Amino acid sequence: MAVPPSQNRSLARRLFGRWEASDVAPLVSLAVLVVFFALVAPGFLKPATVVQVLKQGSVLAIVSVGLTFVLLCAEIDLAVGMLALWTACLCGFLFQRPFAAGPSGAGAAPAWAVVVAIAVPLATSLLLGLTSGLLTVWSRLPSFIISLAMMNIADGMSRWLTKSENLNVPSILKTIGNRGIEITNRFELSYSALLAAAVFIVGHVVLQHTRFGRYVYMTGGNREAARLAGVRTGRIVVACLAISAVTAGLGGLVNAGRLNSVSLDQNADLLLSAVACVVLGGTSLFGGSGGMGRTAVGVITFSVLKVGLNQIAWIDDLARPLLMGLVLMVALVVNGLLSKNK
Amino acid sequence: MTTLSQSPLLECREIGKRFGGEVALEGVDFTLLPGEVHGLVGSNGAGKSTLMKILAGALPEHAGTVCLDGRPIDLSSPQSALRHGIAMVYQELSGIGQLSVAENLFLGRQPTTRFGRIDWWAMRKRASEQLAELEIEVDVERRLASYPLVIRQMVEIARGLHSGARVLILDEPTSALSPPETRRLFELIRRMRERGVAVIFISHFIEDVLAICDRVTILRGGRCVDTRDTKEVDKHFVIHAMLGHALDTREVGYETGASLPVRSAAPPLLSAAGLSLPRAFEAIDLAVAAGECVGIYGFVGSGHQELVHCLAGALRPATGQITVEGQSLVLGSTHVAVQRGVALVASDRGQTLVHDAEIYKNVTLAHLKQSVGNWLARGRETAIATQLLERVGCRPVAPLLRVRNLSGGNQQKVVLAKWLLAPVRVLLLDEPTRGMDVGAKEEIMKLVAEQKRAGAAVVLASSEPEVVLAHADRILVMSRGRVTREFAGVTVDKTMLMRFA
Repeated sequence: MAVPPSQNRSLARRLFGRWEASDVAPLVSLAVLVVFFALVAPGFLKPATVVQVLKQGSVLAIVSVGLTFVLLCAEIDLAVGMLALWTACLCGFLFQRPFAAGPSGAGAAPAWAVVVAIAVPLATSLLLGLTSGLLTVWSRLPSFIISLAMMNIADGMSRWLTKSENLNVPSILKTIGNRGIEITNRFELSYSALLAAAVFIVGHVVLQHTRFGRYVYMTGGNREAARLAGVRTGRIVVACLAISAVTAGLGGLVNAGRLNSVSLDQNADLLLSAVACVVLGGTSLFGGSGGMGRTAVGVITFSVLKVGLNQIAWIDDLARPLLMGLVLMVALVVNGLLSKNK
Repeated sequence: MTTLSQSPLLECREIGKRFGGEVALEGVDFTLLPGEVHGLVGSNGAGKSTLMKILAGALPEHAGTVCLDGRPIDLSSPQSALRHGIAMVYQELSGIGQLSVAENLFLGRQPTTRFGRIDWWAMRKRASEQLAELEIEVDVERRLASYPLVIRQMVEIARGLHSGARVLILDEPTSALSPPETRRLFELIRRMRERGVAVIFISHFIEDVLAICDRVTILRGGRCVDTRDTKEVDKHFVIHAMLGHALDTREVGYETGASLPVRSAAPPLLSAAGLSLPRAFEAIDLAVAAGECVGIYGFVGSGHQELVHCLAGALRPATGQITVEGQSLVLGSTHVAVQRGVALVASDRGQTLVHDAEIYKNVTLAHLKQSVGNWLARGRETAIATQLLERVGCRPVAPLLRVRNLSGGNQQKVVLAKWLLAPVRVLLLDEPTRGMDVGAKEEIMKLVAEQKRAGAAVVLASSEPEVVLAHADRILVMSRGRVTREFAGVTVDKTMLMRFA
């Protein structure tokens, strides 16, 4: 039982806080991957790779922020992928109504119509998240079951609404998804990455510096203890699932923008990728430990893996998903083992 | 029926067991005759459960020998105990509620067809026959969980019997049963006796022991004090033998008694009326004044612990009303209770602390808004926590340490520190010092006394008579969910408390 005496903390400790194996493990995994790809893929250590990682990772990052809240309070939200799809579909649907597209269907949409086409879908996603949360708390069923049903509902609503058509989305989403601020002529900081960073920072501040954030951790750490201390743990769970639904919706909008339209094949693997990112960063699936910094590391690791594998030219395209899965499994197991040996 | 000329079925000689340096059992001799119901009594820590665990094969390393039919037997695992025909029915039942009664009865030894499939038809038929034989009337196809506790116990006993048990050990079988249920269980035990099965009946309820047992063995401090025919003794005798008179306990003075002050005339700060919680307690009325400590004494399972949890909002009573300072509380809401200054200190720290979180986060959890405000900053929080940890005497004073690294006593101090961040109006204690060393016990109770002097209404529930005698101003005794006696303004001792429990 090592007791850190608070009076003689070293400077390093004061700057970085207390580091444990579980904090370092995800960073080590990331470093190993970077070194590996630098050796194997000649073009890897170039600004273009960073641009790509940031762009590819941003949708995942936005969704992972909400999912981190859910996992921290020891619940799960399986609906994130389909909520992302639903939000984007509704956005596309609204955007093609006459109020936005004009009577001929080709006019420039007025600004208020764009706002409606983005805000209303996000609000419906929030509503669906609240529904999942309230049902989870009220029925005392695991959120696994409730959000599984919600996943199917969101998927079904998307199909019914779009009739399997490709739908156009507002140009502002396309700009966010594809453009950025040019910093040098070879390095462009994409708007989607900036948006993801903003969502991350908000998430981090809420978790670390608000009472709500503390209650999320304590509810996940020991729900009964939190309840006995007067925390209304039911509300915390509902709020986490609602947050997760909103970030999922936002991620879906950005993804549709990146792909210039919305179609039913989008976001199919978003859920599992986001769970992998959060857990890869070292946030526990059982609640109470983890945080936004870790999720950020997880998202970057995941994106580096994806981009890096694509840069190795001699791998058969059809073998890439298999390799992705294998490397992911190794990384998860190694991180998991390292963080257990505290 | 039980003469000493009969040769014993089971004989324990010179049984001893130590846990670390603590002596749990020393030189215990114990004989069990065939077809005998043998009671085993003793206060907490007398060694009853240790002895039974040895017999059930759960503690292979012990001193002394156990003989069955005069031959020493090996009790190195629960399986070997079962092979020798020793079966135990634990207080927490081991039956699987989701399975049917028949499946539970044949758990691990299902009849199979020639092809290795479970023969459901034969299983149901034999289960019905076996239960009918013991006059246990149940539908064997229904799930075990749909039956009340007494039926589940009886099925468990039947299972032990039909797996060939000759010695059945029942651990506190009546503690959660109503009187008619107890009578049903006793009938079954008598039928077992007629079949020549020997039953060891462990209980805190002396009346039950005297009602069903042929002989009774009394343990005290890990030694066997006496074995008597139950016809020769009464409750008074047994209690005296259990407690002894020349005890070298540290809580000296409470062996002879504690004189309680006259009940204070002050208006109640905390009051409860008509509280009932099914399977725990019924129609409880309670009034506690500011600066008063009411002790509630009862055996494990008599409902006093659940009562305290109900007062804190941790459990929701089915009926009744709780008021604090004249305003009624929302039943089952810890949030409202905490806002009104109701604090709960439970015996199980796993219920009240987040073990993987830092100490400071646990300390500030209940009153985060009042103490830290809307913006959480670690520096300010740890400063607040440090101050409180020093006040309650938690060692080490290291707010960044995780709670799991603290000893039990220090963890309980963290629980107290958590409540001290805001004025405590009602302090509810459920076995607050269970399993702690004497020093930690004293420190915890000193903090409680401080709150009492500051005007808190204190309720102290405990199954240890010493604890209530030492700290309560007024004592209620609970038995099977009801208050059986109130002591105020008189001198009471352990014997008197236990007589009403």
